[in-house]
Formats: sequence, structure tokens, C-alpha cells
Amino acid sequence: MALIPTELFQTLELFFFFILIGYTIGSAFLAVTVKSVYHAVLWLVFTLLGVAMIFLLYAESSLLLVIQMIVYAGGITVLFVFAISLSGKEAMFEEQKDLKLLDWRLSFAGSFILLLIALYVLSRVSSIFWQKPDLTNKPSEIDLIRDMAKMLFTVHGGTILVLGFLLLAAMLGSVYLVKKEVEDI
Amino acid sequence: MTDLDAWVFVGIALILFLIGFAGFIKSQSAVRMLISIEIMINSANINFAIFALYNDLTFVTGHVGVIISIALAAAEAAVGLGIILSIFRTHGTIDATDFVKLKG
Repeated sequence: MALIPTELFQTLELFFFFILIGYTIGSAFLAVTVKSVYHAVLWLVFTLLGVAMIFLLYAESSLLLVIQMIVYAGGITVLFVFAISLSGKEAMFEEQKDLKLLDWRLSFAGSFILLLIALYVLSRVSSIFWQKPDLTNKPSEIDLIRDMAKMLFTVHGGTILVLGFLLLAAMLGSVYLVKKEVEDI
Repeated sequence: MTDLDAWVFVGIALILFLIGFAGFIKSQSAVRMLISIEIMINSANINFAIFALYNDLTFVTGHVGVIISIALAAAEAAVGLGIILSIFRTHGTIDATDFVKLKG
């Protein structure tokens, strides 16, 4: 016999789902609206952790959770904090000026139009596309990771190679961008 | 887990994308523009991961997409922040509305 009745368990799951979604979307909203850029990076970390929880609970992939936490929440955000620290005191707070062309009304109007277009496109998609399939034959997590490793070196081998060159170019480019200015000083 | 349909997560990804889009247009700090781009990339990653489970027979291709997308985001953040630091050294500000030299 289960410790918690099934109906209560499903209600609790749904309750937790709404808390998770509210946490993720609320953090994203605060990341783009809060005044201090330092605090925006902190809210970005919370958003990334919320997305990592969605990967674990609803996409059923613990590998993506780990990658998201290590690379995004751990690595990129530290890069952001260093960039803000090196950019002086003025960079920490965003000054609100009167812009001639782009202001918040235009941004929200553009978002709303995008939302309408997306809702129209999504409403044309067949309902079979959305339903959760029968996952009884789903391979175990370790088999999935093995399959993924095989695909990364066979089917997607060219993409990984291009990605390696891109990362090399990004590393050399950022070193060049910063180094040249140091020599000028 | 309760069986939620995929459109729930597509809706969540859509809301995250719109928040990122609005933030990108609204913000004046170049760092916050990069933060908004990261939020938009994450909304795309949610779609990749969810449809890997819902509509992919091998369950793997979408996850490969997420890994590639995260690597791209890391490269983009490194180059973007390098450019921001370089501009700060020459201009003394990272306000995106002050970079008007290419405007002509």
C-alpha cells in the first residue's frame, strides 16, 4: 500500500509543477527588469536552475540537468560576474534614458505580436503531436547515454567537429580582443 | 509523473522566449542584452529536450541538439563579454545606446 494516496500524490505533483513554473518564469522576468545588473545575473542563475529541473523531471534526462548546471549555472554566470566586475561601477546599474526609437512599449508590443503569431501557428498543429507517448519501452538512462555517445561520434560527428573549430575560434577571438587593448595601454 | 501534454512546455518556452525578447529590446546595458539572449536560448533548449521525449523514436537526437546549443551559448557568451570588455576600455561605458560610432 502506498504511503500517500494516489489522488493526493497527483495533486501534490501538479502543485509542485506550478511552483516550479512560477519560479522559473518569475526569475526570468526579474532578470530582465531588476535595476542592478549583478542581481540580474543572480536571477539568471535561478532561471537556469529552474530549466535544469524541467530537464530532469519532465524531459526525464539527468544528463542534461548536470550539463546545464555545470556549464550554464556554474560557468557562464561566473563569466558574467567577472565581466561586470571589470567594467567599473557604472556598469553595475542600468541608467534609464529616454530612447527615441526603442522603448519598453515597443518591446512589449513586439512580444505580443510574436505571441499571437506563435499561438496561431501552434493552433494549426495536430493534437497527436502533443500527446505523451507510451514510455514503457523507453530504454534506461545508461542506455540512452551510450546511444548519445555513439551518435555524437557517428551521425553528428561533422557537427561536433565544426563545434570544436567554433570554440577554438571563440577562444582565440576573445583572447585577441582583450590582449590588443592591453598592448595599446 | 502526471502525463502533461507537450503544449504545456511549449507554452512555458514561449513565455520565456518573449520575456527574453522584451528584455533584449528594452535593456540598455550590453551585459543585460547577453542575459536576455541566454534566456531565449534556454527556451529553445526546453523545446529540444521535451520533444526528444515526446516525438523522437530514438530519444536521443533532441538531447544532442541541447548539448550543441549549450556549447554554442558558451562560445557566444565568451566572445560577447570579450567585446564588451574591449568596448569598455575604449569608450569607458557598456551602455549599448552609447555605441554610435558605426552609425554613420
